[in-house]
Amino acid sequence: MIEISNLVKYYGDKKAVDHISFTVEKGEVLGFLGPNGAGKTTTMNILTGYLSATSGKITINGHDILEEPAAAKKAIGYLPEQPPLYMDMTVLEYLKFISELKGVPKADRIRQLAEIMRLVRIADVSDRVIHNLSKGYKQRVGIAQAMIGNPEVLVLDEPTVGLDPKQIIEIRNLIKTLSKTHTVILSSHILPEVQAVCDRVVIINNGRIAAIDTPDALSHRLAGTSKLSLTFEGPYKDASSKIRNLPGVSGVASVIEKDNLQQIEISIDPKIDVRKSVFFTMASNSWPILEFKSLDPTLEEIFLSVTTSDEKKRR
Amino acid sequence: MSAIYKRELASYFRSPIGWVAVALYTLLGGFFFSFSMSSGSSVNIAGELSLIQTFFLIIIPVITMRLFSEEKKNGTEVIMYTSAVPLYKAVIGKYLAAFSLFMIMLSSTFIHVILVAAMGGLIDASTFGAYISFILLGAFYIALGIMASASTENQIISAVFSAAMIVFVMLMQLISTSLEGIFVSIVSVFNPFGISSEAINKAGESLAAAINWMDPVSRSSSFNAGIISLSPILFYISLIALFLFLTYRILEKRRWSQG
Repeated sequence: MIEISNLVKYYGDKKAVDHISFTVEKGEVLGFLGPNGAGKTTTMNILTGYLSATSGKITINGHDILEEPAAAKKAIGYLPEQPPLYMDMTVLEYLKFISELKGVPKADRIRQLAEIMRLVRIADVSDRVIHNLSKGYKQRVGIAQAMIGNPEVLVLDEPTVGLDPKQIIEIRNLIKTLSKTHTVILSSHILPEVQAVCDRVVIINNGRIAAIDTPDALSHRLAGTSKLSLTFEGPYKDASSKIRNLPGVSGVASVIEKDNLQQIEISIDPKIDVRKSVFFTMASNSWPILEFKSLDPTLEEIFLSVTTSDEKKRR
Repeated sequence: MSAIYKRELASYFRSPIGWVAVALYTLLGGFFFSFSMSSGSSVNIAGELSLIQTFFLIIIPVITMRLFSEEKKNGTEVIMYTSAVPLYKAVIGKYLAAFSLFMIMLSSTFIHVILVAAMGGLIDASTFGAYISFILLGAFYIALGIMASASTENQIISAVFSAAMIVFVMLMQLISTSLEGIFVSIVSVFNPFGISSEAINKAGESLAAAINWMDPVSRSSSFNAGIISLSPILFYISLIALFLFLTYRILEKRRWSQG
């Protein structure tokens, strides 16, 4: 669907994007994760034809963005970080202008606009001047703009930045809905967002790719040994030796020990699921489990460790 | 292209700019017209046009300054760059929108022509010529203004830049005569090869003639005499095409070097 190979972009002497290559499959939701200034926006700007790369090649559905810009651009809808809205127009005027610009046939225009406005839920503000809309509505008008012309790919640069928590949830749900019918590339520096909606994550730092994988595989790959946290009532010594002897357990450490209440951390081999055997051990000894959870590293931890190890390597 | 044209033209009338520009020209033209009517002197449409022509210096920077600057500032230029419409069409669409506003501004003077004709006044080839020269000069200044607008995201800088270019064009005749004088006096004082003063004067004259050849204002003077010829028209059209092409290149360059 989208192939990016050896993309390089210099701003003057500064290398903003450094040999980035990846592919996006049809129907996929790809998350683009990185700290501010990592090169996310630059990559997206090049992908959508707004900027030109210093070197490298991008094809969309087999169309090179430089050689066949019209065909490549038709396949992409882009929502930049700052939605490109003409503040003096009403929502409907603006969307009509965009459909005319994108060459949507006249007969389809009204039907398509109605469909999009229903989907992103802006029909109720269609007659209002964009300048007077709230930020959440402006963002949705921006997404609507990207969807006009029915592009197969939606590129969304930080779609939830600057929104309040309720609006963030709405936009996230909207993206989930859109991902059923579109290939979506989405950038963010908010990790739960990426975890919630993306099939695959590209972590980018200092213009280079630090990691590409599914959110789950990333946490496993980084985990090495995973940990479980267990809180129960019972004697520490007895329980810990019994758990330590279970297959797949490599260590037990006490976190809190208070009278009869214990909280322990169990280090396990990530390939073996020991949760059931831990449960039955505790049950057969009548030590009631109060809390039992897996301590998989969050994307935050992965992100930090990937980006810092990448920096160490460079030094 | 037509989408951009329509949006730009409508946008003039969503803000005060379009209304103020039209009102200003209606007021100026009407003032001059009624003044010359009531003073009993002969009514001169060409004179009216040449008076409101001096206001090009203010009005053309104002109607062109936002065309590209505002898009860059608001981030809406992304639409231009990422839509399948090629950039040069955006340039032409915006140019035609500004030119249409200019023609709307001018249209108020048509009433004066009709009035003069109805009352048996003199409407001849020189009136027609005055209109052609007025329109060509305005169309050229609009191209300058659009180029200024494409080169900055600050509307004020854009307006000042285009006003400066218009002043330069307006003063070209003066520049050519003073350059001739300076050239002749400098060469006569430092004359290392003993060139005859006659030759120096000749060289000075050709220098002035060369600059005059490029001067759009003096090119249009033949129209005011009622002589409609093709060569100045082609000259203006080439100049407009040149500046629109430069505008396109400025926009295209931004894609490669943007920081």
